[in-house]
Amino acid sequence: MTTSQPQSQLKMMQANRKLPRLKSVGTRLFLLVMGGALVGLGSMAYLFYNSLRKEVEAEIRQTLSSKVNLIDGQVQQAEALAKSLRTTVATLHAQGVETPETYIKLTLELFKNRPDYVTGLGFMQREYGVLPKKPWFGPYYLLDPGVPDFPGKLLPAPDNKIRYVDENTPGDFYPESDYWKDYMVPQKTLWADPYEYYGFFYTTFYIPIYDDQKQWLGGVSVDFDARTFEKSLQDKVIREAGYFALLTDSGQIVAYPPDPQKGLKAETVKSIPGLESVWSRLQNGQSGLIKERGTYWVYQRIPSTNWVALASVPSEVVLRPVLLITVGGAVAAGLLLAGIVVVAVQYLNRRLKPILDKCNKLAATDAQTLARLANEDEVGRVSVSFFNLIDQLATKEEQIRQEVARAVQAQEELKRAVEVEREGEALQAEVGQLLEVVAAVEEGDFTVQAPVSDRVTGLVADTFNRLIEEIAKVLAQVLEAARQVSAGADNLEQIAEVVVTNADRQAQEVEQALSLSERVERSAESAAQQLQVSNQSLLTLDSTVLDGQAAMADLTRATEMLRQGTDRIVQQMKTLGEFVGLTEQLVRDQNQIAMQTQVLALNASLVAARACEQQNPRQFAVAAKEFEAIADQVSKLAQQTNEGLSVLEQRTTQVQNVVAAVDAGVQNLGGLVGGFTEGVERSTEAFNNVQMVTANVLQAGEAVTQSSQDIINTVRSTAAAMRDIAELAQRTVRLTQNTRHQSETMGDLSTRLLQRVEFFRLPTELLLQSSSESESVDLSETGESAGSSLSPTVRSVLVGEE
Amino acid sequence: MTEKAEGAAIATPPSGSRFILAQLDRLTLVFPANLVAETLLIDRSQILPMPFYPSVVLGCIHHAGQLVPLVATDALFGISSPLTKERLTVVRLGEQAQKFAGVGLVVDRLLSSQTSEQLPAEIFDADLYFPATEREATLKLFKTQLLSDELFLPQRWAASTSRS
Repeated sequence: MTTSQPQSQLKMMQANRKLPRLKSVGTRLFLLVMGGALVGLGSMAYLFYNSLRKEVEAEIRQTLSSKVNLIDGQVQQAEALAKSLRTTVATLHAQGVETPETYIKLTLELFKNRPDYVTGLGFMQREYGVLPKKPWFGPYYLLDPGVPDFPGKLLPAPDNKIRYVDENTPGDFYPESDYWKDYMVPQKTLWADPYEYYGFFYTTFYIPIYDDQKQWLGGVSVDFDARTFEKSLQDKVIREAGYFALLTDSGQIVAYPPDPQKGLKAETVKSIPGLESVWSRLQNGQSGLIKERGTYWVYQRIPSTNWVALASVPSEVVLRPVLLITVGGAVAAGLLLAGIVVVAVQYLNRRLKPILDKCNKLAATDAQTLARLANEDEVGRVSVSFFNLIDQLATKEEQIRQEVARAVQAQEELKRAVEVEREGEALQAEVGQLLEVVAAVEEGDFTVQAPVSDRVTGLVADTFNRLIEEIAKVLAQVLEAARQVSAGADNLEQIAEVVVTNADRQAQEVEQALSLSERVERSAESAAQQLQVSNQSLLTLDSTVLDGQAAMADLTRATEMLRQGTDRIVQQMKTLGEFVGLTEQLVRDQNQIAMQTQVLALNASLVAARACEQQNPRQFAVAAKEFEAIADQVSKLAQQTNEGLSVLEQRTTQVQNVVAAVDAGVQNLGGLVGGFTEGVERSTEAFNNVQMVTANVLQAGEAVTQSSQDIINTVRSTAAAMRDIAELAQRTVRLTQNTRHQSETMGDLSTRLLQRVEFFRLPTELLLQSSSESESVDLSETGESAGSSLSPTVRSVLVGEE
Repeated sequence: MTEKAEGAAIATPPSGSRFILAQLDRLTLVFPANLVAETLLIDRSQILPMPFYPSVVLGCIHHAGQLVPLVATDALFGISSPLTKERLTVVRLGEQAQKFAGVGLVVDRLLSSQTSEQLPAEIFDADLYFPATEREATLKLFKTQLLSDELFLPQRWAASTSRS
């Protein structure tokens, strides 16, 4: 143990040493926190950087915008001056002022009141434009550049800085100049591109002059010192870095503060480093910001001249501080956080250390636990040791419980020993009591009882009590048994008598049953006969029914034929009716004819009467003619009658035929009806037969019923007789059973008695004495009652039963 | 017979004269043959009614090229005959009827022609021809006096003539 301890301790320390690097809770915590913080900080830094960057860009643009406004303002002022000159010239021209001096004076005054950067002002008229009498007129004032052979003449003091140039100035006749041809003649309003003139850098604004009728009179030009632009744009853009520049729309440099010479030499975009590549993009927009190769190019157009103002800033100037700020801030925050976390972890480790040491100590004895510990971090180790402890606690608890149980047992044994002692004393007292009781019993007192208790003596007393009881019971039983036996013997005698009477009755009943069965036989025979008879009748019935059926069929056929015949007759009757109608018609016709004949006859008679009176033969002829006419009519009528009669004859023959047919038909029908009647008679006969047969059958049936009824009755009575017999037999059986039972009981009693008595072992001489006495008693009793009074049948039954 | 002959002037017809008997319901009219021109059987459809004449005049008929006016004899004598016949029997009066020559008298039917001997004599009693007193008689001799003069008088004029 002692040698192994240092070994295990070494292992422990090794384990401990490995831990902080890999699996320490602190390390993990540190990593997690730092990771999260860094992520957060990084994203924040990024966002911050973006916003700062945007701010810087906005600032640049703002600066540029203010510069643009400034330049624009200056430009506007120059334009305003030009416009005022134009307006005044036009007004004067409109007013009809034709003195050139006025115009010259005007121009001078205006020039004197110019803003600082305007270097020249003047106007040029077209041929006879402003002054109608003068072809060309172009007064022009400008600041003396200080160059020796500059055209024009200086004004006297105090304006000896101002030069005057006009149309008369040699070498500068404006109608031949480019600017006249390019800008004024086309009536353009514009700012010309900057140009170099006698070592100076100018840009000029041209604006045409119109009169009231919108006629072109000429043009005003204002010169502007381009170097003022330079001055305006000289500042640094932001944070002392960057430069401004001003270029025309076509790319010519107007002002380039980093290198003013470029402006003077009218160089273009190409000469500004880095701008060329971006220029195309700049040209398309009004204003904007472009980042190209590490440089910010911010541009904005000047509204009046459409020049492009640029601000160029190297992006690192802008971005570096931003980056520094953000990254630096993030890093600082991260470091701070790391420091705090490390401190916190160390604190944690310090607090955990004592617990861990304790755990290691505990686990030092257990190699398995050590192995587990080696793999865990602090919290793991603590938990492993903790669970280990708990296990140990459980085992210890088990042990304690066992010890306690054993202690309890020892106590109980002590208690029992004390009790046994007490028991012994009680026993002795009880034995004394028992002895007293025995003495009493000895004297023949069976009424005493020994006191009972739980102890052995109590048992003895209990047994003794029981013994006493037993003896008493036995004696009582013996008495009882003797009494019962005598009673039983009397009973047996009575039973035997009853049985004899029952047997006699039974014999009688059996005879009765025999006679009844004979009766049944006879009734059955008669029933059978009757059934045969009825069978025969049914057969005849069947045949009769068949006949009847045939007859019915015939009948039906005959009826059918009858119906047909009647139909025919009806039809013929109809024809007859028609004929009768025709005849009626004929008769009417005849009536008519008769009437007509009558009339004719009367007429004829009248004519005849008149003819008689007439003597004139001519009138006779007339009368004769009349007669003729009448006779014609009569003959016609007669013909008609004839025709009618012939028709009537025809009709009559037809009628006769029809009537004959009807007659024949009727006769047929009569025949049919005869057949009909026959058939009906046959059917009636058949039905009568049927009726008779059914009557017979009924009768037979009734007879059968009667006989079966008889049979039933007989059977019933037989059954009743049988039942009586059975009853009697049962009674007999019961009685014999009873007898047996009684004898059994007696036997039981005696056996029980014997058993009881044999319980007591008696001395042999006493036994011999009593047995001889009892035997003689037995024999005498049973022999008398059982042997003489029982009839042979009962005895045999008894024997059979046994 | 002789008594009757002594009484009122009985116009005994000459022996052998014929008479035409015609029936009007229960009344038998006896027409002297000399009054009758002819007898006709006509259809009712042939009758052309004449509106302005009394209802006794049934109308006229066209027969053998002549117009025959018809008189409802039963209405004339106040006999009601319920039966409206389709074929009418007409006794046409001859020349001897003078005013009423050619007039047709509608009867129910013709019976026969008989001689004077076959007929009972009292019908020839001249007094007995007023219709009012002879309602119960079954046999009646026809005389033209039975027909009123105003029979064929148009009624309008009848009214005017009555007024006048």
